[in-house]
Amino acid sequence: MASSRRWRLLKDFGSFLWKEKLWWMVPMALVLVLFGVLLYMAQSAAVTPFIYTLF
Amino acid sequence: MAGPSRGRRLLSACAGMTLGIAGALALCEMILRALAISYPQAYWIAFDSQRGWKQRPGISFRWREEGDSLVSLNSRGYRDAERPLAKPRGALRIAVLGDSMTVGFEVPFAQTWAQVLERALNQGRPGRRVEVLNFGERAYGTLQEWQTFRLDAAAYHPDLVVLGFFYNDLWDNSLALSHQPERPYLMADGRTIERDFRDSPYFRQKGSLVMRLREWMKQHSRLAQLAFELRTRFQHPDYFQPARARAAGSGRPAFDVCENLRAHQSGTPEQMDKAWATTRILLERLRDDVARSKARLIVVSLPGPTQAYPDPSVRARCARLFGTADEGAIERRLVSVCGGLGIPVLTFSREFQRKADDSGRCFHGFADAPCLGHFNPDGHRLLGEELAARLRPYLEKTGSWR
Repeated sequence: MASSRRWRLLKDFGSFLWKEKLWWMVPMALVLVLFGVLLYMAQSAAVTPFIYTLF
Repeated sequence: MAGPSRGRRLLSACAGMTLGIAGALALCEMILRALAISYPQAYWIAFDSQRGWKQRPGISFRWREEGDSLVSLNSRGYRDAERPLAKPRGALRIAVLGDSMTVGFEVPFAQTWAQVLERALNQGRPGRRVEVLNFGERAYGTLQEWQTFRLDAAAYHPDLVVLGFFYNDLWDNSLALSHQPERPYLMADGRTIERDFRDSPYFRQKGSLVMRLREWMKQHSRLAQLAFELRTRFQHPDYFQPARARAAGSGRPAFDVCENLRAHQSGTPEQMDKAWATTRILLERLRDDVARSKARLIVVSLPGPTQAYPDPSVRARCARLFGTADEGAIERRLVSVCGGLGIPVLTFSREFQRKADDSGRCFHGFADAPCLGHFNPDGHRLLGEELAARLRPYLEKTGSWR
């Protein structure tokens, strides 16, 4: 239920940008979504503790 | 009246998009700062012309890669208090050399084994004060530790030098085993450098504008740190294993500890022998330099996660699987090598095993990967206290304490 509400919100936001011709905001929104995904990916814990990437 | 031309519209759209992306990136940076999210593993080291790298002096950060602690490095780049070069009158100074197991980024400074040792040696003993100086550097091998003694630690006039030897130091002493070109290595003949790390692409480019900009970005931009963190994780896909490590209620990892370490604990017998030959020469040179500084050298074998695993059957299985690369086998050979060089070695694997079996506790690793990784606070405490108990009679016997 909550998930479908979230999708609807995103869809509404997309159609708003489309109708108002706010193209310039599309990359901005994409960057923010991508940021969220990358942040999530960087949160998991390491289980290979003796490997060091130095530079 | 005609509207703006098509070219003009396109130009303003592009400008809008660019501004939009720049604004989004600025917003992401602000979010990371507002949430106090940083990735210090992207910037805690700097290039060093002799050792390859060195912890960056004077920085502070929160370390959450493993454990959770605030880390401050002093003006020389060590995780220690600011110490005057001149030894305080009547003080006994112990310089500790080692790698990440000695630095202990994973726990608060006061809980590191060097600090536990300092407190334990001073407890209930009026008179000569003991100072334990931590010269540990994350990811160092024995060659870099020997260089650290010569370049930094010797100037503090230590009476005793303690080298914390962790099993992976053997790998760090061999380019063939560690595949890490950014540091110096000694050939098994002891005379020549196997490969000059200054030839590595990273070092050659270090003065370039691109590299300087990259380093600056990693120090000053949380987004750049996030990008570095993700690059590291893509290079080592194990990082993406979810934090699923703890089996419900048992406090033990849900994965196979031996299998997990297997990939990083391998090498042909020839490679291992060469690494031991190099290690022997390095220990000999460190011993001689320490003696020239009128100090004594002691090697402390730091117990590894499979040696201290709270289940004898798992320990035995790992030992079978790793053979000569097993932590116990490495410790035995270290004792033999140091014995031949006349260097005292202290081992603690029995104490760790006994305590682990009695209590079922892990002395390595944290909530996401219990039993696997660096010392946790219990591991640091046990090592520091046991080492103090062994050092007291040694210091009395050798007259260092008088």
